Amino acid sequence: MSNLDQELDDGTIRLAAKGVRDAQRRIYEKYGNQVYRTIERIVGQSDADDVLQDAFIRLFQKLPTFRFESAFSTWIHRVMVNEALQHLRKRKRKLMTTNFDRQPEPEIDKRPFIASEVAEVITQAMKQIEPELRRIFELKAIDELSYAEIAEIVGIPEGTVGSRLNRARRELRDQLIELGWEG
Amino acid sequence: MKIDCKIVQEHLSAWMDGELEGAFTDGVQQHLATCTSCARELVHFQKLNQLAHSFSADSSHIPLWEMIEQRMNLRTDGQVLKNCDSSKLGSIRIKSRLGSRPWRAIFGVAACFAATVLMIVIIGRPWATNRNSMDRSAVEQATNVSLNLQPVVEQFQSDPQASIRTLKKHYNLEDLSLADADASFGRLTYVSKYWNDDALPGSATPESTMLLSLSSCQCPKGKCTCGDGGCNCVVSVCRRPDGSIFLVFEQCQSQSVSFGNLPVKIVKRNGLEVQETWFRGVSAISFDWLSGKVVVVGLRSDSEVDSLFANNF
Repeated sequence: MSNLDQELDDGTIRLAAKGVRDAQRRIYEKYGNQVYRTIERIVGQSDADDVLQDAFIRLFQKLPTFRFESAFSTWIHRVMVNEALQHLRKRKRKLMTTNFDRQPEPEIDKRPFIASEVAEVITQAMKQIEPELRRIFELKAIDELSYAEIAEIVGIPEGTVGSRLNRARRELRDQLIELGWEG
Repeated sequence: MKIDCKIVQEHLSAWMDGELEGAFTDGVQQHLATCTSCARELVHFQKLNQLAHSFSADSSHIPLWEMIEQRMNLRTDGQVLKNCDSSKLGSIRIKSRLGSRPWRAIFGVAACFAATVLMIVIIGRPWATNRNSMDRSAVEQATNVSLNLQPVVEQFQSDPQASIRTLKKHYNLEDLSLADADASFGRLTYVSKYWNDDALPGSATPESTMLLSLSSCQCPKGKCTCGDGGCNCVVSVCRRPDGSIFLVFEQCQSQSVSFGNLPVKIVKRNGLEVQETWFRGVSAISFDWLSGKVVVVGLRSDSEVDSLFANNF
C-alpha cells in the first residue's frame, strides 16, 4: 500500500502521538479505508469493523514509538496486520477451547464500482477466479504479507501458498487476456 | 541440479516473492535468464502485482471516526479511576482483598473519590472568575462530539431504510415515543411542535422516534438541552403521504454534525443560515433551532426545503 500513498506530514503524526484528536482523525481518514480492506481480508467481514477500531486505538497508543525511520504508511500497515493476526489467533484459540463448529470462511465482499478502466477490468477478472485464490493473491499482492502469514490466515500449509499463488496468478492472467489484456 | 521449465513454473511465485532460499534461487534465476517462455510468465506475474494495487483505491464503509473517538474518550475518562485503583488498592488485587480487609478497600475508594472531588474543585475554580468566556470555550471544545451523517446521506436516495440501518450500525439507537422524546428534552421537540402545527414538509407525519446516544455530555452546566444521562439526539422518521420518508435529527448545541467529504454550502433561507449539502437529489440540511440544532436528511427538492422554512420560520 505504501507506494500508493503520499505520506502525511510529520507534524500531523507528532500531534496525533500527543493525543490531538483532530490529527488522529486525519490519520484515520487517510488510511482507514485502505487498512480496513487489509483487515477484512485477514479476519473476515463480520469482525472487520471491531478489529479496525481496536487496531486504531492500539495504533494511537503506539504512535509515540514511531521513529520516522520508515514510511508511516508501511508502519501503520504493519501495526494493523499484527493486530488483525492477533485477533485471528485469539479467535482460533477460542474456537479450539469451546469446540464450536468451524466458522464459515470469511466472505470476500463485492467490489464497489471503481472508475478507472484498468481497475474495472481487473475487478471483473478477479471475480472469475476462486474466492480462496483471490484472497491469497490479494494478501500477497496488495497486503504484501509473507507466505507464513498467509498460511496462518487462510489455514493452509506454508508450502502450499506458493503453488496456490501460481494458480491464482495464472488464472487471473488468463481471465485478463480474455478481457483484452495484452500482458 | 538441472532446473527445467517445469520446476521453475512450480516455484515461480515463491521465487518472485523472495520466499526461496539457497542455491536453488540462483538456479531459477539462471534459468529465467535463458528461457523466454518462463521469463515472459514472470513479467506477467509482476504486472499482475502492479494491477492488484488498483483495488486499494476504492472506498469502503468503514466505522465512523466518532466511534473510535468515543471509545478513546471513555478510556481516557476511565484512566483517573484506573490509576487510582492501582495506586491505592491494586486493580487486580482489590477483589481478593475485599473479603479479608474491606475497610482498607473502602478507605481507598473514599480517597479516590476525595481526590476526584478536589480536582473538580481546582479545575472548576477559574469558571467562577470568568464564567461567560469559559462557557463559550467549553461549548467550542464540546463540539468534538459530533455526528457524521455522510454514509446516511449517501445511501438515502437509493435505499432510505438501509441508511437507517447504517445509522443503527454506527450509533446506539433505541426506540422511544415522541412524548418520551419531548420529556427527555424538557420541551416539545422540533418534530413534535411542527407536527402539531401540521407544518412538517410534504404533509409528513412522524412514524417513529429513536434516541441516539453519544458519549458523555460535555455541555457546561445548564447549557445542555437534551436531558439527563449524556448527550442524546432524537431522530424521527417522518413519512410523506406518498410513502417516502425523511429523517429529522435534533441535537443539543454542544454537538456538531458533519457530512464528511460531501460539499456543504452555507445558504440563507428565510433569513436563517443553513448548512446544506445535496447528494443525488437528496438534501441534508442543518440549522440552529431554539437552543439546539436540527438536521433534516431526505428532502427531495429545493421547493420542499424552502417550504420547511416558509412554514416554520
